[in-house]
Amino acid sequence: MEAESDIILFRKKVLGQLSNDEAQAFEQRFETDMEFQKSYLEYKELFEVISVSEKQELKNHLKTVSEPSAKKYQYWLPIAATILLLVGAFWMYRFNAQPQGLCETYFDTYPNVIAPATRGSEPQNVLEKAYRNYDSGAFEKAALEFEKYLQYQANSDVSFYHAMALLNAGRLGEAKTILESLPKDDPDFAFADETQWYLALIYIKLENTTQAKSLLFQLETEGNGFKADEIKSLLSELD
Amino acid sequence: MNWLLTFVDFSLPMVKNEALLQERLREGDKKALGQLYSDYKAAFLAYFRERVAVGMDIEDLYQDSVIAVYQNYVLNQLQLKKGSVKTYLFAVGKNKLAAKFNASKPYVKEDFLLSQPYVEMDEDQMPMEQQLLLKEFKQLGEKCREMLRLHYYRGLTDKEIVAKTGYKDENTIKSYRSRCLKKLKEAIHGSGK
Repeated sequence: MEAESDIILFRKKVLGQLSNDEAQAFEQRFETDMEFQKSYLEYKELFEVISVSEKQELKNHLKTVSEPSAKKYQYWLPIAATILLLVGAFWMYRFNAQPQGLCETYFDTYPNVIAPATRGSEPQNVLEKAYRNYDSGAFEKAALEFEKYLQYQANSDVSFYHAMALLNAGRLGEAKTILESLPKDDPDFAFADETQWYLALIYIKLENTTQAKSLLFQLETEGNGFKADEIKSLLSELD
Repeated sequence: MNWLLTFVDFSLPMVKNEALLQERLREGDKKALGQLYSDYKAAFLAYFRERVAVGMDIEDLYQDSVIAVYQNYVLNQLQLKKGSVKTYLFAVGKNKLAAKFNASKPYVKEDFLLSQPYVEMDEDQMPMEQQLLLKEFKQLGEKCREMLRLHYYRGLTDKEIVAKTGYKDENTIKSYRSRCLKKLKEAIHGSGK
């Protein structure tokens, strides 16, 4: 396998970033060192293949991106905005009424119990960075980093913290979708009860008291004691 | 508890400002690509429709320009010294137009020209063997494609790949990549028979 320094050279060469001196040295080595020549040609060939494949994928991806609204509809924007404001005001009024206020009372940020920060040490990878940001309350950043990590491998525990970061950042809809997709009976998943608890709070916020109560009942009878007192008092307040 | 202040939000997160948009483009974030595409489409089409002969597919020009801008952010880790993403996108559009009409002199400033993306190759410009390689590459499993993509296309070092993916260490990355390359070579050998 090629040395890292050669790979850097190959990269600069395919991107046309070699300086004059570097280009000269490159040509000389390319002519005399057959191994170097072979490695470069393989690198270049794969770089081109993957670039073209990427371009084709991007074209397909752009087809799924929603179209921006056409100019002629802009006339309706002020009216639409006014209607939205009125609807928004109505819903804000509803959210401030009981029982939605309950979830504010019972909500607290779930602590990072997976990778507590060690003083002075720099985070080594994207996952450590995510937990570090979660600890410091930078929930949007943490959510982005959890998402990046999860692109490459599925992990329910990490997904739970991804949902927690989103929830704390105010992105309830996305948090709900993730929490609903997490396993209920997987012995390897450490946060099944916690998932139920936060889902119940979200349901309360969304005025779905029936579903919230059903989750809380289930937690009370089958759970491992997580938030036992809170579950009891929340259930009595919901009745 | 700032989430209590917000209205229920089911929308996709949007990239809020220009600097953040550029940072996410450099990271190869597809949501940022989507935003770039949606944000400037109307303005780009209006601008070029006024200036280009009837019959030319401006939407196609727009799509190609957006992809070129995006690939340039990813491949060259582009940092704009001046001007906005929008200015740059329009400059790329003008250059593509100039190239199409074989204009001897491109319209745009030199600092934009210097950061033109490398890859302007299409499948039909490739030799047959390379087209075969492309076909087999697309048939590889997703993990293998991603591993090769991070190395050959994104230009990440093995250390960076470990940090990004959570694979155990650099040796794991090296041996996994070797296996993927071997699989690719075997596939080409097989289909060449």
